[in-house]
Amino acid sequence: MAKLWSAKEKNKFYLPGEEIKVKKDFVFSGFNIEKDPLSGCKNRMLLAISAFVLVYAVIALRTLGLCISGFAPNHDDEEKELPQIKIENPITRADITDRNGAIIATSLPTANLYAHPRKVRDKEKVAAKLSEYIPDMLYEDILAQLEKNSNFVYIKRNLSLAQRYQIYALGIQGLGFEDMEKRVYPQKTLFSHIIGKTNIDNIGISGLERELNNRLTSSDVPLRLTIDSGIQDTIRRKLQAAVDKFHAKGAAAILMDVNNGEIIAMLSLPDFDPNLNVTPDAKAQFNFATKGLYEPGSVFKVFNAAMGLESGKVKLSDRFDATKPLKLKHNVIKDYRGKNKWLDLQEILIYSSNIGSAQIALKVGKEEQQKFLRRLGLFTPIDSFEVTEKAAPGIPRRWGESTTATVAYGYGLSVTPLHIISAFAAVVNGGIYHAPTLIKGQHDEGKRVLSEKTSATMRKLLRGVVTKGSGRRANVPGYEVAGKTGTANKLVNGKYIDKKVMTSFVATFPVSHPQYAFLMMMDEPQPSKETLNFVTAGWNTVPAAGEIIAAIAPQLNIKANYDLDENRERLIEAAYRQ
Amino acid sequence: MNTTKSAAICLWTALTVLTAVIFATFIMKNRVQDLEKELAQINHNINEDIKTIHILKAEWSHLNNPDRLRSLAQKHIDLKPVKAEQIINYAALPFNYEPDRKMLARQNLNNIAARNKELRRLAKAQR
Repeated sequence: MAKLWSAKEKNKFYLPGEEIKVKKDFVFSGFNIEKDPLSGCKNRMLLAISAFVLVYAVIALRTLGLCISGFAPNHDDEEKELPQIKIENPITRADITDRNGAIIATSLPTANLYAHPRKVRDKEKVAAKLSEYIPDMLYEDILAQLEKNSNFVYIKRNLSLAQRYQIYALGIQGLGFEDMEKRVYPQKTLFSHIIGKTNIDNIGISGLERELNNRLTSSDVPLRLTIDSGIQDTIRRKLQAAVDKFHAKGAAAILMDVNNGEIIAMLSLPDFDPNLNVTPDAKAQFNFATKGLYEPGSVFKVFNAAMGLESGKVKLSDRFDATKPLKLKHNVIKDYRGKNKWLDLQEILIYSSNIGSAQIALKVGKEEQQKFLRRLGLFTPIDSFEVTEKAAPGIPRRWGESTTATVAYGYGLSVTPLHIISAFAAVVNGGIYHAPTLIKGQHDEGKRVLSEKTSATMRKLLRGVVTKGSGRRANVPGYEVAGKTGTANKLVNGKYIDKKVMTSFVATFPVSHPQYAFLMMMDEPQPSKETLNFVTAGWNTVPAAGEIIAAIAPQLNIKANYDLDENRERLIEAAYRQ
Repeated sequence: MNTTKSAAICLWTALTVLTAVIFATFIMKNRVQDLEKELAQINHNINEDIKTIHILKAEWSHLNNPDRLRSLAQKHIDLKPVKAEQIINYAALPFNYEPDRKMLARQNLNNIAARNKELRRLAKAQR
C-alpha cells in the first residue's frame, strides 16, 4: 500500500481517493470473489431477508386464506347460504281472520322485562323510575321484585315496544329484555267461544286456538275462517238483548250455510274477553253451541216427520188420532195445549203434537228410527269440527218402545245445538249432509241422507209452521222463513219441571231455495207480561230469532221476495214442485 | 450469475403479484363485509317494519270493531241498518216498463240508421 502510494506520488498529485476514479485498472490488492470479505455478511443478510419474506408470506397467505374462507373455520361442513334480503315474519303464531279478511286474532311483538337483582344498584331509585314507565305496576311491587335474593326475576311481561324503548333509554344496569309475542283479540268478546284463548306461553288452551295449534304455529299464513264478523256482531247484539229481555240464564245461536256446512256465525252467551288474563268463570267459558247437551224437545219433530216421509210408511195425507193421550206400557204421552182432534202431518208440526209424532215413530219402528238419526249424525260427536269443546250425544242405553216414542218429540236423548243445525240443514237443503266447518274452503263433499222429494216436502211443511203455527212471530216478510220451534222442560233431580225450560227455534231462509239455516236457543227464559206468562219458544225465542233474521238477511245479500201475494204463492209452489 | 438473477426477479415478481392479489382480496373482503353489515341493517329494518305493520293491522282491526263503528255511525251519520222491506226485486215492482223499453229500442235503432246514412253520404261526397 505504501509502495503504491509512493509510486503515484511520484507522478502526480491526487486528491484523496482520486486514484480510484482515475485508474481504471485499479483493484484492491488481494480482492477476489472467492475470498470476498463481505460474502459472509451477504449470506447472513440473505438468510435474514428470506426469514422476513417467509414471515410476511405466511402472514399474507393467512390473510388471503382468511379473506377467502372467512373468520369462522368451524362452518366448513355446512352449506353457507348466500347473504340475501330476508322477509321473514318475526311473529310465529299465524293470524286468524274472518271470511272477509278482518283480523279476529293476531300476535303482537312485545318484550319481557327482567332483572338481575344482584347487579342492580340503588334499587329504590330504579323502582321509582320503572314505575313511572309501567303504569300498571306499583312501586312497591317492583321494589319487592328487585329485592329478591336471586339471579334472575321477571319484572313485567309483555311490555309494548314503546315502553321497551323508553326503559332501554334509561340505561339502568342489570335490566334486560326478552323478545316475546302476545296473542291479542281486537274484537274482544265477539269470538271468544270459537277462538278460545292461549296461555302465557302462546299455546292454545281452548277453542280453535287449541284444536288447530299445530296449524297456527307451523305456518304464518293467516287462517281464514268462514265466520263473518259483521253478522256475528249483529246476532250477538240481538241475542244479548233477548237474554236481557227474558232474563235467560244463557243463549246460543248458530248460522250455517246449508249448501256447504260453513258456519257463518256462532255464539254462546254468556261469554268472556280472551284478552284478559283472569280465568273466566265456568259458565262464561262454556260453549253451549258446541258442547251444551240438552234435550231439544219439539225441534226433533222435524227429523221425525222427515223419517216418516223417507221411510214411505207415512204420507202427507195420513191422519193421526190426537183426541186422547197416547198410553204406552210405562208412560202416557200428552200434548201441550192439544187440539183434541185427528191431525195430518202438517198439523202435527203446526200444533207441535207429541201424540202424533210418537205415533209416526212407532209406525216407522225402532230400528229404522235409530238408523235414520245415526245417518243425520245425531248419534256421534262431530269430530271434524275445529273447536276443542265438543260433546258426544247422550243416547239412552236401553231403547224400548217408550224411548222410540219420546225421541220422536225430542225427549230422552240429548244433543248439542251444532248437531241439530247440521241435521236440520241436511233436511232442508235437498237431503245432503255436510259436516259443519269453520275453515274457509275446507268443507266436505257432503253425503246424501234424504231424498230430494222428502226434503222439498219438509220445506213446505216447515214453511207452514211459520205461516200458521208456533213460528208465526218469525215470519219475516220477504225472506220466506221456515222452521220449527221447540220447548223442552229441564230435568231437575229426575223430574221434568214445567217452568224451567230450554226453548229453541231452528229455521231456514229463504225456503224456496234455502241458503242459510239458523238456530237459536235460550236457557230458562222467564215468563213476563209481554209473553202472557208463557215460557214456550213461540213467545220468546221465535220473535227474537225473527228480529235477528230480519237484520241479517239483507247483510247476507238475500234478495227479498216481495211479489204480489198470489204471485209469491205461485213461485213458492213452483219451487216445491222442482 | 444469470440463473440467480432470473430466480430473484421471478421471486420478486411472484411476491409482488401475490401481494397485489392479497391486497385486492383484502379490499374486496372489506367491502363485502361492509355490504353484509348494510344487508343486516336492512334485514333488521324489514323485521322492524313487519312488526310495525303487524301492530298497525291489529290497531286497524281494533278501530274497525263493529261495536265502535256502530257507535260512530250513530254519532256522525244519519243512517240506519237496512230493513228487509227496503229491498225489492225489479220484477216485483208493480209497473210495466216493457212498452217504454220497446219504444226506446226503436228510437235507438232509428238513430243508428240515420247516422249510418249520414256517414254514407259523407263518404260519397268525399269520393
